[in-house]
Amino acid sequence: MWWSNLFAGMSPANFFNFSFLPKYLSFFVQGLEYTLLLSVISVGLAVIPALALALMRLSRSRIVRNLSGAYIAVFRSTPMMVQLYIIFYGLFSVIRIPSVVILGFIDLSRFIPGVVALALNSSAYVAEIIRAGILAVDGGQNEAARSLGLSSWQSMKLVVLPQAIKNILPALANELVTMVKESSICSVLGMTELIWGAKTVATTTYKTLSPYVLAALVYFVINYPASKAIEAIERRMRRGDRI
Amino acid sequence: MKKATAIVLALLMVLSLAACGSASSESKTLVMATSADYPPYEFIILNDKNEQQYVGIDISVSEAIAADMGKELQVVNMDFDSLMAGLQKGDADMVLAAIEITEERLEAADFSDPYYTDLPPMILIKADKAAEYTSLEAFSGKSVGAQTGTTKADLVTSDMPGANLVGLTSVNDLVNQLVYDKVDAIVLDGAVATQYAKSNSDLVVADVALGEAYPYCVAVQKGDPKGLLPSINETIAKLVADGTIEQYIADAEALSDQAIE
Repeated sequence: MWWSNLFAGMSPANFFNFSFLPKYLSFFVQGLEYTLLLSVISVGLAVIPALALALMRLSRSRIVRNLSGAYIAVFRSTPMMVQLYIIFYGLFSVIRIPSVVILGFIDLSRFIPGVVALALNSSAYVAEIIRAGILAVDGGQNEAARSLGLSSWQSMKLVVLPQAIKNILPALANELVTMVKESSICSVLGMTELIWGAKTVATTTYKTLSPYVLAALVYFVINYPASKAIEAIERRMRRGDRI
Repeated sequence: MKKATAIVLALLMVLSLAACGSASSESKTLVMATSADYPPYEFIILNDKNEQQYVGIDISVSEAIAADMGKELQVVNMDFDSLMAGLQKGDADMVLAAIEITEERLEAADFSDPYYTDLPPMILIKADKAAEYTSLEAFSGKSVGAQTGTTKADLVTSDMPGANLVGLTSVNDLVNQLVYDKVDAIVLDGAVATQYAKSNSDLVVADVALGEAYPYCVAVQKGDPKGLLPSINETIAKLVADGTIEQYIADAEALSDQAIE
């Protein structure tokens, strides 16, 4: 390709020596697809336990509150990498997943443990996002709903949560942006996501830096417009707020 | 919510499949674990159909072993540090990853007869400093990189007096540290050092002898519960005797050269 000549004559360890690109593009394309699937499914799955954790956190029973609090504390205060190791080597040596490859490049025996680890970790953060979203809804809303004869669960489900979603969605989207970057940790266990692709190209071609620089550019091109879009949505949602 | 439930159900189905899957496939496939970031021993290339493919000396040997057993080879790729743990856990039947026998490794696994002896370890340095480093003593007070958990890291401590060992997981990171002057030298397996010196004109192999060449062997689970060793040794004896192993080495080096372009 015409642009491959641009990078001729550069040292193999140069930051911008992208001469590997025409041949090894597929590592980055598949890597990006893997990364996006991994992060979208993880955050998507995390929402369900996170909602439960958030509601537990707001429960009147102290035991329930502390249970949820302990889960959140453990997952937010330990490194993601260790959580990944414990879930991959611990939990998933009890649960055996066959090595089935879907879409031609996703090995389920690695993908599923990765999704589970990221989702468990993410659910702790999302729980806090949901809790903050619920608490940000004016207390008068709940009182009004209760005085109209709704049960506490009904007022939560029909009155408070729908209003909380407005606060939750932008923060949730931010969590997704974070997850796209955080999921790169899965490369240490051979999940073939973007950083793994960069690492493989770096070792195969002896170009030791530029594949990582390219991966960083790809992350930026995905994440920057995404965070701009989230800001726009946030502004649009605030339009209904009274001052 | 419905979609989420569907995803959860789908995952559950996959998990329940797990139980049936492993039992039937175990006998027909031979699972080999390696760390495919170490050309020319094991690395990943794009084949003619533009698919990712594991290649290298260790992969060719594994294929020969599997063929002689009448099984299909399955390659599992992981970090070098995790290979022995993976083998003990039963994720793989055998490990081929340019592994030398050491006392520590003998406690964790059993080993076959050697299938290949590499060049001795070599010290890789910047080309413009080649004149400075002419003896092992010249590395005193310098920082020298090596892969953690390898015999090369032990060599730095034992054979290079006064050198400060910098331990990193990947060869790739070691080379970056050398190119950007974060370390003064790195110790690699001979064949790997030669390839990096060949592909990067800034780097040369120092004219200093270090250690000796140890042969590479196939690792299987401790006590060889699956009884694989006799067949593996038979295949290795055959490969070494008729010179097929030399062909594998030439093929792997040619593929590595192609991958660099």
